Amino acid sequence: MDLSQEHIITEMQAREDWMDKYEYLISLGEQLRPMDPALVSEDTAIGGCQSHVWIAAETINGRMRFQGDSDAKITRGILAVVLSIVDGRSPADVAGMDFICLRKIGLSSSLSPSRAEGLAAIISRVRELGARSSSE
Amino acid sequence: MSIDTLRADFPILARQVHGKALVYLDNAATTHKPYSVTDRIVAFYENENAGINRSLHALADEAGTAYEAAREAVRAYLNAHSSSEIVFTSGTTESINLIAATFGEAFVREGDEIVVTAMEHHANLVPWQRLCNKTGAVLRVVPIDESGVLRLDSLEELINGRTRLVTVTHVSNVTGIVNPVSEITAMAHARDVPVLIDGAQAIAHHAIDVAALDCDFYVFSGHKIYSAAGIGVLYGKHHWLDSLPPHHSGGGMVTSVSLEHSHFERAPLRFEPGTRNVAGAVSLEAALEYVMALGMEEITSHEGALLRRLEEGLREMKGTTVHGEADRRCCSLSFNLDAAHPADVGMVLDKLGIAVRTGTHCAQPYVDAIAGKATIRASVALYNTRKDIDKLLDGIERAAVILR
Repeated sequence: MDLSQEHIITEMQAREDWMDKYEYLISLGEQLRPMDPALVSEDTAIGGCQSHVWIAAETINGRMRFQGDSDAKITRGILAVVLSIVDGRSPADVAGMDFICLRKIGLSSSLSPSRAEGLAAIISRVRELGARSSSE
Repeated sequence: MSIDTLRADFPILARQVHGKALVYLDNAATTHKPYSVTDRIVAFYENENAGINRSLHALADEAGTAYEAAREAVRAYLNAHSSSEIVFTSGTTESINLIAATFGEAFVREGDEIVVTAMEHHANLVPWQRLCNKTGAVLRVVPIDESGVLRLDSLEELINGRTRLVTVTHVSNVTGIVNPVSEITAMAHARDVPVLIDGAQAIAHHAIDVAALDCDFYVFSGHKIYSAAGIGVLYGKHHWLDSLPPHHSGGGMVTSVSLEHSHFERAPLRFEPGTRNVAGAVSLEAALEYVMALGMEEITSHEGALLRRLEEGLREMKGTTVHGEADRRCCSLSFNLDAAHPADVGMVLDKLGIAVRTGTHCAQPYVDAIAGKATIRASVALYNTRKDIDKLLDGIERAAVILR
């Protein structure tokens, strides 16, 4: 499956009904690279979501590689979108990522910290991982 | 009155969300306001606004009169003996914290016991945990059975010579199960133990008569019964309120103050320091008038029919679990789609215009015990319709397909 940002935006915009958008997001979540079970821990868990979310990253040759998972399907799909935006980028890029494209697919209205999908908490953790890696 | 006429009193119900007509089924969190309530708030600020119980001018007098009229309206609504038994607070949470702090200071010592239940909202659990940690008192918990119902036989055993207070919710904010609070009060009183009832989830759905219940304290929030947020009530029997020390202190709750000493007002003013929320109080009076005009019996029966329809529909649907078993529910019903995460279901319903609550509902111990995980909660109010319930049932079916 094509997980490029442009492709995701096109696919999301092509679907008018939110039920169709959710089905697409869920399919993206199903494509998400399985997370190494050893990385599922308190350290990688993100608070502030109604579902459990874990994100881990490592930097290889200056490029960040992300793994993540969630026990909720839509959240896992949203996580797949977020990680597709930052995966393979430099730590500095990740730390400063504006995630404006999320607005194009209608997810930015969910940025309030209390929203069930916890998108704001996910973005904040991803940037933090970028900042941590660039200061190492 | 037809339901459509009644719904026209609540402008927010005409809203659309995500391009769909709003179906609001999160009334256990907060209720919407009829024009009569919002009009009353505006009228107060446009005509009567003043700080009360201090100045001698006309506005202060009018605002003070309005505030005391609201207190009297609450007294009448609860069938309390005297309006001096009605303390205005900011809500249920403050009311319970006030009692935990003041009753604790006056009557709870190391080795004493406080009886709570396994069904409580955190607001009626955490203040008592803190009191016990501070004083060395012991928290005793009335357990629930496999239906999610309180085990009254255990309550009987838990009350002893060291029990200082029994505190219990009138209605569960998770399952809507109605507790036999009259019976609980009688059991506690037989051993001379006072009783606090958390009425947050009962007040808008059930006639409340504190004289008949004979409880010592009854607390609720205005915003759960169609008034503004930030106003709530602590009812306390006169002899109890008068025996408690002040909680917060400041202006308006003292009769005389020197640099060294203060003499405190009697209840209720002793518990009402600072500038009062008069707009909140008069909005609560308007809300109670609205409810009384419709008639609480009508409301209880209308909402009961909606909850029964919802429960039947969910039980007919494959792959769903309704939590708790009870003859009578009030306002709320919790359930799960067995194969789906409740947060996913909540997100799908939201995009269909349907507002429900998902999570552990500030009652983690109870939700853990009855469901073992977060739940979906639908909760009704007087303005909900059979159509709302059918839309929710349809929405759940759609969610089941998408999240299969």
